[in-house]
Amino acid sequence: MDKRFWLGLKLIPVLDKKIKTITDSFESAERIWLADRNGLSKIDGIAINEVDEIITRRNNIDLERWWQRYKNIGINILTIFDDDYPPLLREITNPPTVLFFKGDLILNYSNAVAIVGSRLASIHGSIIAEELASELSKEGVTVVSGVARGIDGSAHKGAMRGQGGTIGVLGCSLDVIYPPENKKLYGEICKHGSLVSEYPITTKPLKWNFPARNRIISGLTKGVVIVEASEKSGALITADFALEQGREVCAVPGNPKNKLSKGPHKLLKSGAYLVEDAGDILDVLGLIGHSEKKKESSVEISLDEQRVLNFIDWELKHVDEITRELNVSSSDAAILLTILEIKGLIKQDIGKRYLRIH
Amino acid sequence: MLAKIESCSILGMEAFLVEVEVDISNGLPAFNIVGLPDAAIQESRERVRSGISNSEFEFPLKRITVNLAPADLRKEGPSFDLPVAVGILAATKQISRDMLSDYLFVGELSLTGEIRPVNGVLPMALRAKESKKKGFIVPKENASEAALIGGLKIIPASSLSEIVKFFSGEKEIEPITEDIKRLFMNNTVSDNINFCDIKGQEHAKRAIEVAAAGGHNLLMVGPPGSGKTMLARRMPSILPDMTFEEAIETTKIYSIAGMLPSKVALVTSRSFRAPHHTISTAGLVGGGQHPRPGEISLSHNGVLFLDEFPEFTKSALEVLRQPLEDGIVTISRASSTSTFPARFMLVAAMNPCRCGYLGDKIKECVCVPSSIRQYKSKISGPLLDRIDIQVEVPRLTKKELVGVSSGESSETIKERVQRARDRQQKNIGDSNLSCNAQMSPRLLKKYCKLSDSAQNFLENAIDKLGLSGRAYDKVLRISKTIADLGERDLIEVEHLAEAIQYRCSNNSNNYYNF
Ligand SMILES: Nc1ncnc2c1ncn2[C@@H]1O[C@H](COP(=O)(O)OP(=O)(O)O)[C@@H](O)[C@H]1O
Ligand SMILES: [Mg+2]
Repeated sequence: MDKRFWLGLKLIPVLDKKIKTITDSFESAERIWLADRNGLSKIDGIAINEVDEIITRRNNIDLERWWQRYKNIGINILTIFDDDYPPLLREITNPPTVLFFKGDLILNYSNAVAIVGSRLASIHGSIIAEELASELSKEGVTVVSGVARGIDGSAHKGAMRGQGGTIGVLGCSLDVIYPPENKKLYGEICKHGSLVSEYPITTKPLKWNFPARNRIISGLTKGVVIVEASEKSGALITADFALEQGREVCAVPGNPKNKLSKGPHKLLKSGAYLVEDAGDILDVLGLIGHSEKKKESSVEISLDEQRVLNFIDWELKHVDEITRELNVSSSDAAILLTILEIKGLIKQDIGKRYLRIH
Repeated sequence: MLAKIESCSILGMEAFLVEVEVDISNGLPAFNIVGLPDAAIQESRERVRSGISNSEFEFPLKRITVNLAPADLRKEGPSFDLPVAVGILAATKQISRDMLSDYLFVGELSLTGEIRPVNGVLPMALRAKESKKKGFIVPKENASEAALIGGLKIIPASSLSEIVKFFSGEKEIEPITEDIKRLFMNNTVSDNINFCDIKGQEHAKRAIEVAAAGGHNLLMVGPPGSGKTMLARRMPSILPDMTFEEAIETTKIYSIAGMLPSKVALVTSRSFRAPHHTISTAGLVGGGQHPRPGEISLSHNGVLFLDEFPEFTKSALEVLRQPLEDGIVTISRASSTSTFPARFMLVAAMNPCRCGYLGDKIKECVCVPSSIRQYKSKISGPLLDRIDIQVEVPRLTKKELVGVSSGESSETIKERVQRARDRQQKNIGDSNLSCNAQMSPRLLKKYCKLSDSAQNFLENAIDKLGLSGRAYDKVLRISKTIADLGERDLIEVEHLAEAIQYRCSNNSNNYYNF
C-alpha cells in the first residue's frame, strides 16, 4: 500500500530531489503525501515557497492510475526501508531512496561484481568481457553492468549463461530503450535477473544521469572490473566510485598501443588488481574458493586446422595473410576458417579478420 | 495522288509496322503530318523539304498530307524522314513505283539529302522479316546490324538520290550480309586491364571468380584505396563468353538505345556499365515519355557496377529490387507499358563506414556507432538479401604492395569460369536458366544435391553460426557454383565451407551486421 505513496513522491520533482532528506526525518511516504498545507511546511527540507507548487502538482496526480501504469509495464518499487534492499548498496554515502526494477530481484547481492568498459569495444575486449561474466555467473556471482553498447552488453550476455544472473542499471527510466538496438537485451536481462533504475518513467538517457547511474553499478557490487576503456571513458568514473565506496577495482590489461588499454592501464598503475581470468576476480574479492581451471575443451582438430589456429593466435589476422603465410589456396584458407569458426575456436571481426578465442 | 510506303517504329523492345500514306492534292501549299507524331517527326518536314530540293528533285508546291498508321500508337524520332520523302517522290512520280511495296524504309535525312543512321534497326529488321518483306532499306551505318537477321535483303542507303536510282534500275546496290560466326570469333578481349595487375587480395579475387562463374551479385566493402574499383573494372576480363541468343538480346537493347558503336554490328562481349552515383532513377532503370532502356538494361547479360553504393539515392537503389528478382524492368506510361530485359550482375562497392576506415589495419576509424549504423542502413535489408556474395577488401600496406606477388592472369581465371558456366548450362539449362544465381528457392532444392556429410555440416553450421533462411539459400547457391568450378556434381563439405566465407562479419559488438 505504502509503495504508491513512494511513487507519488517520485512523481513530484521538488519532492524527488529531496526525497532522502524528507524521508530521513522518519516521515513515512504516506504521511508526506497526505499532509495538508501546514503539515507540509513543517517537514524538514521543504521550503515555504514550495508548498503551493507541491499541492497543485499533487492535486493533478491520479496516484492509482499511475500505479496501474507502472504495474502494466511490469515495474516494481523498492525503497531503502525495505528489507530486501541490496545490502551493499545501502552502505554507500548516497544510496537511492527509491529504486524501480523489472524482473527477478532474488539475486545474490552480496556476491555481485561489476564488469564495465568502453562502448566502442574491440572484438577482443567483447570476448573477454563475455567470458569473464559467463565464468563468474557459473560460480554463482551476479554480474552488474550498465546495459550500454560494447563491453556492458557482452558482460550481460555472458552472465546470462550461469545461475549468478545479471543486473542492468540504466541511466534512463525502465520504459525507455536506450540504445534502441537493446530491446532484446532488456528482455533477456529481465529473464536472467533484473533491470534497475532510479528514474520515474519517461526519463530520457540524459548525460548527467550516467555518473549517478555509475555509483549504483559500483554500489551494488564488491568490486568493479574494467575491460577496455579509453582515458575519457565513463567506466573510469565507475572505478572512482568504487574506490570512494571502498570496493575493489580490477582491470584487464591490453595492448599498450591500443587507446582502449589506456583506461585499465592507468588503473593498474595506481594499484588496481590485474585480472587475467575469472579466478583472479574471485580471489581478489574473496568470493568463493577458486574453482579448478577447466579442462581444455576437447574438440578434435586436424593438422591443417591446428596450423591455421596457431598462426592466427590471439592477434587479428586477415584471411589473405593466412593464405600467404601458410602457403595455401584462398579457397582452402576459407574452408579451414569456416570449420574453425563452427568449432567455436575463432571469431570473425570487421574487415575479414580472425581472432582465436580458445 | 496517293502513295503508300511501309516503315517501322519502336515501342519498348519491339518494332511495329507503320504505313506512311502521302496524299498530294491541289490547294494552298501546306505540309502536314498526322497520326500521333512526336516533335521530332514534326521537324522532319523541314528536313524532307530541304532533302528533296537539294537532291535535285522537285518539292511539290501543293497540299501534302502525311498519315502515319496505325494512328493510335505514338511514333517518335527522325526515322520516318526517308519513307516520307520517298512517299512524296512516289506521289509526284519522281521515283519508279514498281517495287516500292517490296521494301521497308527507315532513315533520317540531312538537309542535303544524305541518309543518317537511326536507332532500333535490329528489332525493325526482325519485324521486316516476320512481315515477309523482300528487303529493307536502311541507313548505310545501320546495315550490318540489320544484316544479323538472315533471309532479308538489306540495302544500305547513303542518299535519297541513290535510292531513286536504285529503284529506277540505274544503280545497283549490293545487299549487305554478315557472317555471324566471324563476328563472334572476332571477340577478343584486347583490354589491357588484367587481374595480374592486382597484388594480393587472394580472398577478394576468388570471391570475384565465384561470382563471375555463377553470375552472383557481389558487394565489396573496404576502406578507400583498397582496390575495390580496380577489382571491379577487371571483372569483364573473366566473364564467360556470351551465347548467340544473349548477344542478339543485348544488341537489340543497344540498337534501341542508339548506343551501338559505329562499325559494330553485334555486341559480342558482356557489357560493363558503371553509372555515376548522381544518376537519376530514370537513367538507372529506364524511363522517359517514350520509354528508353536505362543502365540496368544496358547491362543486360553483363555487369552493372555501382561504385560508392550508399551514395546512390535511396529511391534509385530501391527500384533495383524488382529487376534483381525478375530480370526485367517494366515501365508504365499512360499510353503504354514497356518491358525491357535487365538480367545483369550487380557489382557494388562501398566503404565500411562514413570515414572509411572501420576495420582497417592501420588507420583508426573515427565514426561513432550511430553514424556507422546510419551509413550501413542506407543499403536496405531486402536489397542486401539479393546480393549473394559479400566480401571485405583490406587495404594493402605499402610494404605489401611491393612485396606481395600478383596472382593469376585473367585468361587463366576465365578458363575456369567458362568451364563452370558451361556445366551450369548443361545442368540447369532445362529450367531456362543460364547461371546458378538465377535459381529460385524451389529450384535450389531440385538442383543442389548435398552429400550426407555435407548435409550434416550445413545443419551444424546453421546452428553454430546462426545463419538465417536467406543466408542458407545464398550458401547453397554459392556452393553449387564452387562445386561447378571444382567440376563436381555433388555439393561437398569443402564447397559449403568455402561458400560460408563469402559473407561479411556479423559482429554485433561492432554494430556492423550485414
Ligand atoms: N591490391 C592492389 N594491387 C595493386 N594496386 C593496388 C592494390 N590496391 C590498391 N592499389 C592501388 O591503389 C589505387 C586505388 O585503388 P581503387 O581501386 O581506386 O580503390 P578503392 O576503389 O577501393 O577506393 C589503385 O589504382 C592502385 O593503383
Ligand atoms: Mg573506388
